[in-house]
Amino acid sequence: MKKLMIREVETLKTTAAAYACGCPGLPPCIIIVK
Amino acid sequence: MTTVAPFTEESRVAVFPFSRQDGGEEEVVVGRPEAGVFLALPRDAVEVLDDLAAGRTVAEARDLYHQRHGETPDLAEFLELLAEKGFVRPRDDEPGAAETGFLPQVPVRKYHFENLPEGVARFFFGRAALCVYALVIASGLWVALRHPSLVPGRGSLYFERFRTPKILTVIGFSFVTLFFHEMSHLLAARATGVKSRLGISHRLWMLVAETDLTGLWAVAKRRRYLPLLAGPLTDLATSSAILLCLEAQSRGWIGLPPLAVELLRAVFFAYVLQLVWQLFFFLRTDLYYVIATWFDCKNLLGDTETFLKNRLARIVPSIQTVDQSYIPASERRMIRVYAVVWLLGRAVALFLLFSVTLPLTFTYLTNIVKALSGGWQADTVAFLDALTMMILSTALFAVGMGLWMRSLIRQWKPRALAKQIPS
Repeated sequence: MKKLMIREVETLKTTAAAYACGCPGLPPCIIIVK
Repeated sequence: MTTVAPFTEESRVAVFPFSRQDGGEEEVVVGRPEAGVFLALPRDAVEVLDDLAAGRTVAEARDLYHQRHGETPDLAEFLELLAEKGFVRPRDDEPGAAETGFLPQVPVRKYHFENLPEGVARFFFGRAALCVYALVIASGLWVALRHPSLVPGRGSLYFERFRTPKILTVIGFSFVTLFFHEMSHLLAARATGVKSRLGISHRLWMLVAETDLTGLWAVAKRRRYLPLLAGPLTDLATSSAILLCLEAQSRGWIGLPPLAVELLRAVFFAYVLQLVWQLFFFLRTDLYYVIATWFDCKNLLGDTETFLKNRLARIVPSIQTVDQSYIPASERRMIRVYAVVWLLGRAVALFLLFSVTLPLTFTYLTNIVKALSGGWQADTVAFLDALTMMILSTALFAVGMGLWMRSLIRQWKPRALAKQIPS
């Protein structure tokens, strides 16, 4: 018997990060404090 | 939730109206937009749904499938899963339908700014508006190329005097720009007739604002790009407008007060970081979705993680493998490529977390404690600066980290719903 496969598609959730938590691994203060 | 298998050979099945869009050569994405539920089905499976919707019994639909494709489909499991997702239910006139305890209705989702007229959304993301944005962005790029010294760098986020109020003002502006970014996604989606939701979430340990545009699966692929890119487009247009203001100021065409110039430069750089964020497509950023859409991937990141787990299972036998052979070949090729991006991106991010972020955060915390222990009266400015830095450097990071840890813990728990029919 042939299985008819069902796949869940992913949710489309666009994002924006404030500079306060922007770049991965780089907190804002590295910039602010220089 | 289904409690009794409600479909027999002679059942006629009520099929809820569903959207359908091409999902590459082999699949169709079907959905119930009002519930925010979308599935990728093989084309032959959609034929079965159409037959059932036309009033055929389960047995008749199976025979028709056999006539067309020379194989007998397993419709019991197929229908059970579709019922769970709210696509089908036993017809009311079927004997025994009421006794099955079967409640296939999925809850209708609440969306944000639902009453916003599409005409208003089209005003902001129609052709005329897009031409204006393109003109502003082109002018901004022209200024940046002609006068690179005008382009604010990272130093624009450093303030010599009145540090606390200025930093708080820039953060305030940043949150406003975040809202504009997400509202742009929402408006552009609304202009295509798709409703969406705004929210707060995280990517790894990074706190983010997000817009749920899942309803875009119900529209043609070419119409998904603008809503997906609307946020970065607004960021680009606004930052370009700031650059044009700075150019006008430098030429003496306008007379902005020094404080305004200082803040505009800082906000510009915050925009630069927001745009850089979108380039981290090893996470689900706007650019990631554009790439996934372009290559007709239905769940690029999720499938890639499964692919990597399967690879890991070769050396760790206790890991259960998941069959991915049913994924279209073109998607599987993309998954293999994206697996490299996924691994490298996370490797770099984790390296920075442990080598930079955590040690730096610890240093900040130590300094903050020292400053705060001096008390409010000892040095008010130093006290306020310390407090601001504490919020900046630790609070948002801690919230993002907390959300990430929670999601990791949840991943260890058994999933409530299988992602696909187990092979």
